Amino acid sequence: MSDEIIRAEAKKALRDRGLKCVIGWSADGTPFFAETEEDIEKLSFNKFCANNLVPYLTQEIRSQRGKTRDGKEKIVKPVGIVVKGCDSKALLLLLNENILSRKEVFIIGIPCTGVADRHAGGALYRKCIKCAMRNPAVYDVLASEKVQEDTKDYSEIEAIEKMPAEERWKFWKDIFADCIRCHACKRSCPVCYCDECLLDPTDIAIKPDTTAEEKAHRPRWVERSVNIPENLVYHLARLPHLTGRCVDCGECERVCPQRLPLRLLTAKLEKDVKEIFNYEAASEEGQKPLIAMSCMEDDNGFIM
Amino acid sequence: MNKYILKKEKVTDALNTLGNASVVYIPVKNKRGLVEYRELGKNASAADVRLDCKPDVPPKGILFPQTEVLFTFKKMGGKITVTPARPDDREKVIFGARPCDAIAITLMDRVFCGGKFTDSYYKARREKVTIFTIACDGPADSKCFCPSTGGSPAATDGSDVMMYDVDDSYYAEGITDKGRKILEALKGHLGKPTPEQEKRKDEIIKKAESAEGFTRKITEESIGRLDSSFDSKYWDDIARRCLSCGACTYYCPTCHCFDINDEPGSKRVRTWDSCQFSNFTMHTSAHNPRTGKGQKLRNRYYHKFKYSKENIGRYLCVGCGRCIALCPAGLDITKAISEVK
Repeated sequence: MSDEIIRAEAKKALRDRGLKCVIGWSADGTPFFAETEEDIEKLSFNKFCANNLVPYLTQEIRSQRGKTRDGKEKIVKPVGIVVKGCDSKALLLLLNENILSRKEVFIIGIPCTGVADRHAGGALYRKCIKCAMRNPAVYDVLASEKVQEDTKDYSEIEAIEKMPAEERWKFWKDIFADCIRCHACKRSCPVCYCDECLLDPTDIAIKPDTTAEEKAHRPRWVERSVNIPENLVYHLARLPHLTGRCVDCGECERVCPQRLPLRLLTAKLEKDVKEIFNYEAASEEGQKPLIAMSCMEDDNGFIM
Repeated sequence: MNKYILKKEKVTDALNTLGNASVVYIPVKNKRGLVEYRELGKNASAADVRLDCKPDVPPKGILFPQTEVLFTFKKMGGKITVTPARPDDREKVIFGARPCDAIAITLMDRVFCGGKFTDSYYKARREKVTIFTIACDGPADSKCFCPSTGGSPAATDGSDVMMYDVDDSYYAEGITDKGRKILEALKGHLGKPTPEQEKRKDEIIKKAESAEGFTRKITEESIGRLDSSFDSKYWDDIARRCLSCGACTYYCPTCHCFDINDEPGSKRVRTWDSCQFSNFTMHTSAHNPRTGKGQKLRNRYYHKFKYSKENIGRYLCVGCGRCIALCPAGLDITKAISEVK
């Protein structure tokens, strides 16, 4: 069973590699941080283990970074993590972007056949019904045999693309009207790792040395008011920042308490990036970021 | 006589009658499957009303909107004119609330109108609200824990009219003068309860008071332990998986914190705020007394179960369980308070 492999590998790595902790799930499907061999006995994987744990990995590694008093880089203890196929894509992107380094992480990969909402019985999440990334893209060990993957299905996106502009506007307006901007989508996003976000007026990085002028002149791209125009800016302005980076893990849609179909945005982004730039985020180790690959031959039809 | 029977098939008619005199908010299942309050005639019709479940979204926003313009201002020739927003003083009915949400409104009353200062915007709305509550006879779902917070599935606090689901009808009873009056006005749709229906109602109350069937609990003893667990490492441990989103606070029927900002269009706007956001306690000096996720989470739990008890004499949690149902990281307030050492 995969649980035994997860535990055995986690224990071995905790000992041999001196891991700070292993991030996984407990049997009830909630995220769990195992620091001791005893904790590791509680690690488990089942179909309710839905959270993408990669944001926690970034948190655990970044919190160790910094300089010691005498100016030396602090030693970062590696961190172990259990990832499903989609999670591993996000992790690979962070490795490719040099946010995390490969030697800082120990990855237990789980080939996954889909996860479900622990509060809503056994039905699979929409993103899991057809999935093209069931097998981990980067890992140190696998907890079970690889599984059959589906081909990516963009039929839903194509249907929206075909809508007349007015109908499409109404479709999206309807969705943005229901957003309450709790920021769960952004804060659970594994590739949204900035300390400060221009779209988040509740999270401004003010430091003791931030001057009054800097505070006063801080641009406010999005106001605190929750209404269609502000919500629209929040959601749409996130997209250029995710272009060629979003791996469509679907965490934003999963955590949304208003159940907004946010993956329609990210899947469209992914589709466009594929069609226009022939690029797929985190498709291989060491891949250059899309933004670093611009060239004169790029299609710029969308500008004019 | 103040006890009536509203046949389930007549609910639609009764709602439409109420709609003639007031704005009526009813729980409706939206197209994404969430049951939320909507305005009758505006974006909901009476036939869509869902009275068989605890709404996923509390009615908080009806009294305390997420975004509210307080006033607009204009600067001309060195003079500033301020135009206050018109308070929303339309008669309103909230139909189909659950007891936990009605209690939550009494707690909001204490915050906004109970002390030295009165929030005129809240008060203008509140005075015009009549609440029809449907009693539960036990936990509405597995997240419920109202008996642990001093409530009950059939508690009447905050309700103007209490309704009990007696098979093919609702047994309705006026609790306040306002409630009795509004039932008078609805008389055309109402009948008299039979002895069997009286009996059914008593059974519901008895079952509710027994507090049977609740799997989630917080004991007085564990709340007492909060006194000595402020510095516990436990808070940082569980907060490690908190994502610092605002879902728990935005869906909480009693969370009432807000922020005020000036926005383009020369408006001063009040919006909900959340103690889980890092700017919540940020001082102008850039000092932030609560930076860690553990501190923020602990503050929310202590506010609900300790500070409020000391300040207003009641827990500021009504046990609706929405923060448990909606937390993306699976945090559970009942588990946290029971486990902390």
